[in-house]
Amino acid sequence: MVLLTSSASYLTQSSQLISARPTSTRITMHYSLPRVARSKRRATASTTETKTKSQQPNPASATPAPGAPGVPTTPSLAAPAAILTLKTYDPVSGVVLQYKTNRAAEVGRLMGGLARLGGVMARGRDELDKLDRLDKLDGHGEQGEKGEKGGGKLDRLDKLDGKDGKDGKEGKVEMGEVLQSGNVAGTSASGGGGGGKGKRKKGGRK
Amino acid sequence: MAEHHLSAEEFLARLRQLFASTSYENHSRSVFLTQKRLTPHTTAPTADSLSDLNPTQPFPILIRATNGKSREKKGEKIKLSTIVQDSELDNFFTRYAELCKTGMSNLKKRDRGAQKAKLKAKKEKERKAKEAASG
Repeated sequence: MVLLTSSASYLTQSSQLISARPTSTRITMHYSLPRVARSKRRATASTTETKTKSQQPNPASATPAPGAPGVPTTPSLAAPAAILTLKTYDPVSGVVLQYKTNRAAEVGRLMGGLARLGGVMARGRDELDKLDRLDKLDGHGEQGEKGEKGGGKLDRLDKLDGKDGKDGKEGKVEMGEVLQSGNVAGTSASGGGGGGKGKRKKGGRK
Repeated sequence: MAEHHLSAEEFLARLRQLFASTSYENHSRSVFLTQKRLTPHTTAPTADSLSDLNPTQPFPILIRATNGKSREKKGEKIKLSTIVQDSELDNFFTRYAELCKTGMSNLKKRDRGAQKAKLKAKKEKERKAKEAASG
């Protein structure tokens, strides 16, 4: 199992895995609220209350001034943040890629990535090449949420296809060779040029 | 086991309910979402093992959602699934992403509190300095 530290590398490596094993690979997203013991929940709530009371010079005012020292600005102390775990798993080769986050700001970006990966699942490697070239064309990295807007870009892509369609084919042949040699984890994105971080650990900790 | 795939609309509506039902208080604290390529069961293994890499026509995507209840709590288990055709993929994912963003409400929000406090302290300092200068 590989736990990746950035969403960008998770998405890149997942797209490589999916393009190598499009039939068997699946993506699972697990949204979970951590377990909070009832006693703990009560205890945290009460300490918050006493703190607020002791530091408030005027107890008549119900709402403590936000930003005052020692007074928590958010009442989220009792409820820890939820965790979102993304897993890309290929049961045939046993590769697991994982990414964990607890930030709400990342959900949109990750979902955009999952939409792209869905496209790769549906249409195979061609889709990945197309998306990679679109990204290059637009001059932004691999997590381009704008990359899905299509429209005029597709026309440009068609022109591009006319030019280097041959390269794409060569890339595919190489992919096939790599696959047959059984080295799925370390497939380099030839042709499309995703630029992964070299070889992934295979079957390390499970 | 026979599965009943829902339409995209119904799936999204039920998923919204599933997200809404999660809370710290009760016993449903999880939502699992899965996506994979949907291949027909009848496909016999072909000589060309790499035929799935370059499909002649796009495959549909299977999207599943559960609340992750185990076999012991079979009665509480919620299983939803839908099949998204390739042509509807973009449209579906825009709505799906929107739903997930609102549904995953207990993730950590961007903390602007600290920034605000800093700004306030700065303003206060300036005000005091002004007062000192005038008084």
